[in-house]
Amino acid sequence: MNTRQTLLRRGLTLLTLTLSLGLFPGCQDSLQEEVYSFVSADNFYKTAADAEAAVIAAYQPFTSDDYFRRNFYNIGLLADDQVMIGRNATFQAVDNFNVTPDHPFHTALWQQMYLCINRSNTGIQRIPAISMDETRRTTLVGECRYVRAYNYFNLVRLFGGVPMPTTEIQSPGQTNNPKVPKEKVYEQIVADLLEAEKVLPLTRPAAEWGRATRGAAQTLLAEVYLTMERWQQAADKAKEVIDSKQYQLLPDFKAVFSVSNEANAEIIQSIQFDGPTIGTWFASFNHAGGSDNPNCFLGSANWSVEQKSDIWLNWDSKDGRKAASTYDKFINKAGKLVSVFDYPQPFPGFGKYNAPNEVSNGNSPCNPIIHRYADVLLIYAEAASQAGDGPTPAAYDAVNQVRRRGYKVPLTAPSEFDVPAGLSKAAFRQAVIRERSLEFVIENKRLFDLMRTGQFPAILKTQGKNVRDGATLFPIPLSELNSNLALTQADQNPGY
Amino acid sequence: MNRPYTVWLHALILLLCLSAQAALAQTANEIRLSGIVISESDGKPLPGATVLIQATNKGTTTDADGRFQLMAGLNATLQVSFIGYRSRSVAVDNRTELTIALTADESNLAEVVVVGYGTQKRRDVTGSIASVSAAAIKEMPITSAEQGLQGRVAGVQVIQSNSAPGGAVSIRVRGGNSVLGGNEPLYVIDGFPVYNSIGTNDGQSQPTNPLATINPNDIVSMEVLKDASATAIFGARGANGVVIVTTRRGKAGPGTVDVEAYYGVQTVRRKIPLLNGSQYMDLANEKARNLGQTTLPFPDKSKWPVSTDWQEELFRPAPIRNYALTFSGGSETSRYAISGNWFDQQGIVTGSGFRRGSLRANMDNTLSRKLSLSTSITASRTINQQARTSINFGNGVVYNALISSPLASVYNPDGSYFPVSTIPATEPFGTNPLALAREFSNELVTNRILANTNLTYALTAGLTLSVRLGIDYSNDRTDRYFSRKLPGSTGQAGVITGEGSTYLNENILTYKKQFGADHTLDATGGFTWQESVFSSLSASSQNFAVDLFGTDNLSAGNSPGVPASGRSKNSLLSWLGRVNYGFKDRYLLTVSARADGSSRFGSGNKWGFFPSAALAWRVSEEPFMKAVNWVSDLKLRTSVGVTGNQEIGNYQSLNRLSTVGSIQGVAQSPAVGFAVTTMANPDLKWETTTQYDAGLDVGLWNGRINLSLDYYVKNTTDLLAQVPVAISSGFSSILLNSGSIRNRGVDVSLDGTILNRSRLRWNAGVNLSTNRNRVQSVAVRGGQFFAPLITSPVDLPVNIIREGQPVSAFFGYVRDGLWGEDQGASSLMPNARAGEQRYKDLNGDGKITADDRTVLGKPNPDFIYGLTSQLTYGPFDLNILFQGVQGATVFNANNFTLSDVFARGNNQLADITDRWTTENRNVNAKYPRASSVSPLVSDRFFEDASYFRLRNIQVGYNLPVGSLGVKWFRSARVYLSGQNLLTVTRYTGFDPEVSSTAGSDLRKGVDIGAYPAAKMWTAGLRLGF
Repeated sequence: MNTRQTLLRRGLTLLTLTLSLGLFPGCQDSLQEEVYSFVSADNFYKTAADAEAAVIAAYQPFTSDDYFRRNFYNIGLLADDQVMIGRNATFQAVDNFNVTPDHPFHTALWQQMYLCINRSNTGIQRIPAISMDETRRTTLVGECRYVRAYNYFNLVRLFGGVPMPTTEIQSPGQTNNPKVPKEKVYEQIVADLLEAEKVLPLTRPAAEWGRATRGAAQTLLAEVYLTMERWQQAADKAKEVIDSKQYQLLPDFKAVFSVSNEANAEIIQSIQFDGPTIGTWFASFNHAGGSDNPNCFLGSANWSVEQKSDIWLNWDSKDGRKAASTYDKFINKAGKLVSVFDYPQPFPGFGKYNAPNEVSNGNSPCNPIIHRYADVLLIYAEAASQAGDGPTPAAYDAVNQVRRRGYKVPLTAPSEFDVPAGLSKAAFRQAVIRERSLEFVIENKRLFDLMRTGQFPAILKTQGKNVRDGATLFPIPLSELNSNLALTQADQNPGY
Repeated sequence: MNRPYTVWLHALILLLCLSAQAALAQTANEIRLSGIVISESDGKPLPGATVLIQATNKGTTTDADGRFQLMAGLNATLQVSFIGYRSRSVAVDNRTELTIALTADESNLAEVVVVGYGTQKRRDVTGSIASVSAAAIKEMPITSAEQGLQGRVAGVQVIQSNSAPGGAVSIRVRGGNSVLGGNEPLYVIDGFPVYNSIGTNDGQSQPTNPLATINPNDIVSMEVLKDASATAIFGARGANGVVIVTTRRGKAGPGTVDVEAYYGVQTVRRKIPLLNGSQYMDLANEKARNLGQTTLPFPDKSKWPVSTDWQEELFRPAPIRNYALTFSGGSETSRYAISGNWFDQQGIVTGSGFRRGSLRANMDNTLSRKLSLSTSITASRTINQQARTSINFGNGVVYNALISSPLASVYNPDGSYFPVSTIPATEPFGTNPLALAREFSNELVTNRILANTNLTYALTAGLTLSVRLGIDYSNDRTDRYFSRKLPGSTGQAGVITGEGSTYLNENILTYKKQFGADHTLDATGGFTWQESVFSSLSASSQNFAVDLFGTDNLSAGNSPGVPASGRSKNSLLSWLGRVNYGFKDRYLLTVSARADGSSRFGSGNKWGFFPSAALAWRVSEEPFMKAVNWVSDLKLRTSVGVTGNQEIGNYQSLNRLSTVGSIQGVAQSPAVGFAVTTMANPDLKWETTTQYDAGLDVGLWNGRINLSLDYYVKNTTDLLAQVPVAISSGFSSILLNSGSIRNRGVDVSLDGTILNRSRLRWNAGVNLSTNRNRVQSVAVRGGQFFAPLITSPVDLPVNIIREGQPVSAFFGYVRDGLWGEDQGASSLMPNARAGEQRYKDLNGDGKITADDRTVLGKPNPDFIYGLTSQLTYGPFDLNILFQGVQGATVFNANNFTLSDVFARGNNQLADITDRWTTENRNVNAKYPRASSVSPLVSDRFFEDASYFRLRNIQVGYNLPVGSLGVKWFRSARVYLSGQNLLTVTRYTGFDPEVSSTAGSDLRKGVDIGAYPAAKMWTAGLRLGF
């Protein structure tokens, strides 16, 4: 009995000791978190593959719901004078340009744009230190500059001056960046694009379609100059793109948007969506007629034609683009011609984005286009005229190419549909801006044209919309204002 | 209690007192004394009983055979005590061999309460601890243990957030402390700490309840530890309270067999009155006319004879069945309780259900006089068929059953599902509810083993070492399939598997000693380690040619998805200690402390220290109270302590890169990138809750009436929250310790034996608790931020975290009647037409904008209460539980569509008839004109969700098997019970007890197509052999 007891006691002491000794020295170690399914920034950005992955990540927010899947367009389209929505107070606040600083749409978009920017900053900062093929390395950094510039361009146009971090943010202490005047933002955009156009390739292999090219950087820069009203530089940059002979107008306007030919010769830069895995809401949002409409999964009339707009009231029916862009009757799934006004959302639809095989709404394969060749021509036309004393023959030729394509007449021969000759500088500009409004219906260009030409938001008031007094820009999101210690209420845009 | 017995007892006490005085008067002659302590009821020896010589500090404890030896004076008096028995004084009276019989103490003062890492007598408890007995738990059919707490424990709110079989139940002990960290209490199941991590609505189905894998039939008691004195011993996991679950263990004696079975039928508690086909057409036509449309959607109503009641089609009477078989018994050295359970509950929504098979083995072995082993093993398999109750409106089956047009049939003549959205004037988003119910399957199968063994070694008298080793292993698999019959689906299959294992080691030393007659000491100290590893794997595929395979042949799908896998780990190391000191049985002190080291926190902040102290004064033991003999117990308690919360998820302090996917290339191929998705916060540390508690326990007339009253204040600081950072940093939030929340409240419980006759006995109880929850500060300028938004058609957040308001307060516009006339440019609402909803311009800027929103209530109630009654008359008994909630608000998101007066073209509430029309231009009508104008998030949708409910009523009959003369037939009971038979509420949805979200979601109190509550009738049988 005694022996057994002693043995047990010893055994137990031993057990306790073992357990204790086994655990205690390991205390600190076992409290270190072991990671398995993600990597830490400290052991990344070392190889060529890491660099590629960092750049893909910089583009990735473009494909989010809050950016190109729908929200960037919800903001840009609904706030313009061509698009409206007949329900849902949250959407209608944008439609009326009467948003509050806490409105979810511009807040979410702001977040995605800065996500792109921080990831670009990471690439610009980290990739140069990676040992890899030098040409590829500079190309990758150039892409990051393109992505950063494009996002700042969107920010500065929608919000004016904004916080402008240009280095990677890694810790809470670096998160508070002051508002920078819009001129400084434009300077940064121009600097990035001048750098990018130098290093980006003229073309991309098929597998890299959708990644930035020299043409994309130059077209963006031309548009930036146009917005800054640096006319000569805008015209020169557009001319460089034209002269590169990389792009052309497709003969058929509708073909530009065909989901079966998205990598066509007119596209300079677009955002890639395959549909089933990552798709946009474009087809369902721009159509009317619900499940009767064969051109999308579900025509939900989120973007309907504003019936007080110039395009609805005054668009020449001979212009082939009209029928390709807007409609109030459509052939339903049963093959019958029906009117949108007989549906619960009785508003005309846009016909530009079509996805007949869409498996569900939100699965359109339509690639949102950032720039296409028609853009370059119209930038050139406007800038060349503005830079001098009025429209030059080349400026006329550029805008008329776009018009003739719309009217389905030969691009090079003068036609009855051409912009009238002999226009004054101002009248010519007005004609080009109107041409843009017809050419780029629901391509998210109109709001920015209205803004840069000073028509916004006055034009909405003429349509009887309940526009917010004193506001010309979107408000800096309330959550940014509340959480960014470098901002005060004084940094908020007028009207908010 | 019968009178002669009482008289006899009084006489005995008198005798003892006299003899004690005699003993003191004389000088002691010491002799060697030996004896045995036995239980009076069955004569069995009681090992471990304390034998003390009165007025000295000498004493011993009995050995495994209940025997003791002691040197004592011939005239000494022995004080003999043992847990669960009444202490007794015995005069030695010149004897050398004594047999001392102790009687079991049935009053609840002697009841043993399980506390953290030990047990205590109820009378010695200094903290706030409430118990629920097996009898109470068994009064009604429940799926999992914590449901048994509802309405029975003051300060504990049980929210059946969705009534789906196996659906998540969330528990708040004295209110929620945390914004981001989990708010569920810690469960300690037979010594094994388990955090019941309720997930959030994943966009497919409402979350399930992980605790439902444990069979509740085996539970003998549940203790809810509420104040810091009780919970601080659980340190970093104690802030949300602790629920200690104890299951049935074997007793020495002949083997017993218990058989339990019940069968019940559930039906939907309430259907929501909606428009019928004819009314639907009238409304659609009226809207068209209001909009000036030339063609009406239903020019000839007679062409639409169908009027489908979708709720009738979707809901079904559903059976519930439960069988349990328990064997228990054993010898002195080896005892067992083994039970098996089969539970099968079908859901009232077609296609949903929950099944559980489980086996439990509890073994207790005495290996030697000093060494014993206590083992608990439970293995279970649950199969949960989840209905599609998504937080994204359109995906949900219940929501679709409400909004679908009554003009649509369920099926086409060819047997295929009728496409409901093709009805004229109908919103195109709807899906046939029956198709959603039957053609979407989501089955979660969980296999779980929870096992632990506790080795106890008595080192010396009073000093015990126990070493616990345990594992909680679970393996689950979700099979999800969207059949080709669902609109838009080409067959979509997904399989998600997960595996989790938690290892536990606890090494606890306990020292119990009585010093003299006046001082008792009970000290506990130890070291514990717990580590969890989780891994997951998922694969999916779509575009199936046939529906034949479901999820069983992913390669048959033409478009395989990207597979995913993950692994994570966390560990917790702890030191703990507690001292209970009692002086003269009336002044009680408890001091405890725990140091926890958690892997989840920043490198400099891994360790947290959580102390507590409590004082109790048993006033009733004071000499001056002896005369007040109707007061059998009066105890004042107060405590203060610090507890923590570590439920923030793993790896939150690290700088993490994750994969992000996009598309590139002409072929539109997937491209995978890596980006920093979480900003590092090396300073991340514990969220700490400091809780103050002052309480009072009163027992009157020998425990016939018991009152317990507590007031508490909980201040949670260093609140763990995903705090918004400047979004321009590329991050939207970072997990920070910021801000604070305060919960204050009162818990009251009162129970008593109202009647106590030989054949008639009536016990009744009432409990009530209030909790005021307030956000004291948040680390965001402006002192507020919003919860995530509610999806379309709401498209806005409805909950706000704002300083000075309760957590997740509701936020929206205030209505101001209807417009009488069409409005012009100078109006508050320039485009509004006559009959449209008017809102209040709260900021007075002459416009209705988002700035006119205000706080409109809170999801948490002002108070909750429960009423219990047990009436026994001879062999019959009647048990009743009423339970209620007062002052809670629910955002009825269903009504955002169901009462938008056809703005989106969906079916409407039946009372939509009370609306503005061109014929009846009533600006005081309940609803505005039919139009395309969507409502704003206004006070109309924030409904009072107070309710009073007959939660359970049970009538039972105990058969007089004793009189049958069959020895092996011990007991038999039959009963009939009903649940949710009566609910009084003003809430217009299915049920006021609802939350479409759960877990740490800041969107609280939101009803988006939630699974409706059922009414249930059950009949059951219990046999004992």
